[in-house]
Amino acid sequence: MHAVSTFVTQARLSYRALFWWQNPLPFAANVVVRPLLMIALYALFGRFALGVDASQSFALGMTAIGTTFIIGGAVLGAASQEAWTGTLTVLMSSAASRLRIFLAWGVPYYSLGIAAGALGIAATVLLTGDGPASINWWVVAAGIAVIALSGMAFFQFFIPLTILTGDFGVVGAIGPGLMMTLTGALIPTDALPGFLQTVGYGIPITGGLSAIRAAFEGAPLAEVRWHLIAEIAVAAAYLVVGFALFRAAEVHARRSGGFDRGPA
Amino acid sequence: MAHALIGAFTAHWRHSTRDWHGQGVIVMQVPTAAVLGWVAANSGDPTILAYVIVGAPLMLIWENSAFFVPLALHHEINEGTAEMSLATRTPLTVVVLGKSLAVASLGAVSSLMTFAIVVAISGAVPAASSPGLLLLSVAVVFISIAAMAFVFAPAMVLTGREPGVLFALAPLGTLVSGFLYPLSILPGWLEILVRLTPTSWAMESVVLSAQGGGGPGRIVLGWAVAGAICAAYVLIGHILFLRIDRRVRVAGTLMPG
Repeated sequence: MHAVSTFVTQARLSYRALFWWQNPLPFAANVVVRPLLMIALYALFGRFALGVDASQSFALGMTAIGTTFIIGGAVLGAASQEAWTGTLTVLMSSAASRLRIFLAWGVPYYSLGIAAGALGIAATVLLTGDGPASINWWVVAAGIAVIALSGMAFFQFFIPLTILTGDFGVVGAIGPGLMMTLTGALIPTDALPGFLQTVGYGIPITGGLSAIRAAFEGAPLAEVRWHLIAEIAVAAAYLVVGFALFRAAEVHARRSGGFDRGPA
Repeated sequence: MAHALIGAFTAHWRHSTRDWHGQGVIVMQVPTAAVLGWVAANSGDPTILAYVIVGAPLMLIWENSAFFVPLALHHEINEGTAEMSLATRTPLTVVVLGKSLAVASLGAVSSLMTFAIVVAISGAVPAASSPGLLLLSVAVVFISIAAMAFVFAPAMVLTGREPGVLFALAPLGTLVSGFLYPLSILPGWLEILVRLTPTSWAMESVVLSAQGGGGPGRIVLGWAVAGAICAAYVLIGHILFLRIDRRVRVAGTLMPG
């Protein structure tokens, strides 16, 4: 019970002190406006370039990317803020549970991903004119939930790199770049070379997005359960490896004399 | 004044090319370029190919400029050097205009890689109907981008210094500029916004130069309207900078109260 209350306190403080988009204007701009504009932009481009079917496919792909985008910005932003403001050194000097510290940088932002995903789905339906009655909404909801989870885990995986390099922008761009090209969000996975297809299955979005696209055709949960399970497995893998790297980064930082230094 | 403009341009160029984050901006464009190139290649339509090959690099110049121009001023304010600029005889307008041109020029250099990726993936370079006019039209788009990004900088200061807001709004400029599709596919209610955006006029000239049709008169008209809107944007930016100047002289700082 004590561990839970400590974690809740840590997560709350992390959100209040380190989430740089929590003011109303930047919050609305990044959680609502930007994802919706990106969905509209690619839906229009898809319709112009490849036809009406591509419009829906691109809108759903950008919805999935938008679900993780806000989480990525918040998670890596929180970790780099911790390093830039000098509180990371104090935090890591304490005896606090490393797992709780690691999770407190990510968990508070999970709900933002869900919100961005829900808005994206609504925008897709409005933009492409899909009949809501033919959509399996439970599967869509499950798809958004697992994409937000794996997106959170994926960006937590990059926390050690952000801390060690002191860079937020470039490191933060690696994840969305991989998602954009290798997950089927915009380029179908079967159009990729074999090796890249395999890599794509190890990146968030791929499984969850397949499930959502099937749900838009009315697919039942049983038909897409393996896509959802694969997405959860990807999330678990990134969380485990990310935490191991975080511990390794801590060891490295103790040897090199600081958490805000580049790699030796 | 020209000396100050060149100085601001050079200082920002040197600063941005010195650290690896500046180089990283180029890397960030690779996925978008790859996706757009793939779509163009699979459309099998030379019109779409032409849009993507010319429009994708310009779109990425815009998206970088919309974020990095206000961010440059944001850094100046945080580091305390913006106040020093205000204390000199050089208007802040000129300093930020120089920075805007530097950011757009850096984007232009990195957009060459975007162009190369799109051409490599799509496997074709469509011939332009009027190559000379096309180059001039692209130059007008470039100037339009710098003018639009320039206005974002004082707007950021006056709205509470939140560059993240402008980063989020950058896709709106992309949406109504017609970098990737003809503006006719947009809903009618966006028409006013489209017509107030200089890049939309300049992009129409780009398309006419690439595809032919309409004659040089319509192309030049596009340049003229884009130029007039750019002048209005720079004037608005200047007025906003004067407001900032007045506010600083009352409050004694650029930091929000």
